Amino acid sequence: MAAEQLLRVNGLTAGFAAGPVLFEIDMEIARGELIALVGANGAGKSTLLGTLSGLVRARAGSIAFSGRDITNARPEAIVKAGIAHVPQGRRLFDTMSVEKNLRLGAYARRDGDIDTEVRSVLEYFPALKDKLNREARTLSGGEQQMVAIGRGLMARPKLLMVDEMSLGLAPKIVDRLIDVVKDIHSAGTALLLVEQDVLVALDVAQRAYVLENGRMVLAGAAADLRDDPNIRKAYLGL
Amino acid sequence: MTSVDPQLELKNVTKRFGGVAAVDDVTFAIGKGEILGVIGPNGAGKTTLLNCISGVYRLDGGDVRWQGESIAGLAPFRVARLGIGRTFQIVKPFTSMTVRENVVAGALFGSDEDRPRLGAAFGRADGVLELVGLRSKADLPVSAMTIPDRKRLEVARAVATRPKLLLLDEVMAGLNPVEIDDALEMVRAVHQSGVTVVLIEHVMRVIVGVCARVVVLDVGRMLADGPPDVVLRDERVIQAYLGERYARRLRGS
Repeated sequence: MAAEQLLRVNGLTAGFAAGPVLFEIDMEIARGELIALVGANGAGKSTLLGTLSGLVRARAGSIAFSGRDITNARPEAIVKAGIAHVPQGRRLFDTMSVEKNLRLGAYARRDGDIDTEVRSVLEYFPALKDKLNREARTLSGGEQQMVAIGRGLMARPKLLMVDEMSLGLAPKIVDRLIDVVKDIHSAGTALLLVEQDVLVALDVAQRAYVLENGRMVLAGAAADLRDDPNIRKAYLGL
Repeated sequence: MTSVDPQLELKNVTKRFGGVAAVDDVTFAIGKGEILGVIGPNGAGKTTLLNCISGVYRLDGGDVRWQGESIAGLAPFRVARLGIGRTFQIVKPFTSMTVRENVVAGALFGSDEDRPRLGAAFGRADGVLELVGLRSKADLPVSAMTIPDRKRLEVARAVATRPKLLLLDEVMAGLNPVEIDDALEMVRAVHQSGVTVVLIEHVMRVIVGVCARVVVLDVGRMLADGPPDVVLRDERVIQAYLGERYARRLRGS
């Protein structure tokens, strides 16, 4: 990879009390790259995001970010280091306002530049402008996903991880969110997308990784994977 | 469009929250044996409509008629016992129980017609598990199940109530295209066992895959009603719901 390395995962094994879910995962992401992570339900995609966020314990192997070891670091330290996680199902603070949800995304930051960040999130998502005082739970599913992504951006991440962005959303809303993902990428942020709409993910990503039963079985240019007959059969149903 | 034998009729169904009509004067009928898709933007009133049918919400106007008789105002369990089963978007299985026991619960508390005793309920549960493709997982605790299997279980619990009409609320959300194709097989199997199916989905692969007819809701109102190949090309539906990228995909294929 020519570009400067941002994330390097080496031989990572991780999981829960019942046993490991991920086995000897190798993965790297360059600064500013847009990566898709593809796999069946239960393959371990969300567990991998959880391990990168410090929510799931690594049992072996290492995770380095911006040249520093962050293996089993505390989640707040990982957010400070520059990884933000937009979890599956949005997980907003339902009874808090949209604005408070956004500002909480900047909780780990110590600089005073948070108002500017709110403004820049609203540039990505103008639909939220007149809803800042609304309780998060009163928003539509699409708007809630906008808040969840916005909250991630408030941490000013170098890497934004988005889990199942399109879940339960109308096709037109998914389109709009994909456009925003492209904008975020153009602004220089690296992204890691976990997406069941595999075709959409491979359309937008530069490279992709394929996870099967907790093991990374394939990595390559997204366009190549899209044309790979095995991928088309196993994940695209074509 | 509607067959000669309407099983469920919605007549001017209206449901308001505060001053806002979430479902606004919706009228259509579902014929026995149909598979009907319901699509529309987030917040269009799709789940609210299911809640109006299944008795979760009281109507603010209009009527819901089941096999010719009004069921408006009936409690949800009474609607279920008349033969209208449903699933929920957020699945809530009994997590301390096995897969089979979850389905037995559905069999025991379902439709009035031919409700089984405990022993027979286990037998019926196994039949339903076979139908939805979960037979080999019957003895597993629910906690060990993947998302697609939990969705199947949600369908199995509803099927075990012996519905004549099954309302499915986004049972394929979060599945990848190949998992969706498997789930479509399950829906076809349930349908072939003699059940009318109404399904809410955002995944067009589902709508095109099994529905002969699709109803589009937008801001609580009916926007379109017809076969998928007509409705999904309707400019108003593309504007309100599908968006240009999908329309391009459709034209390209």
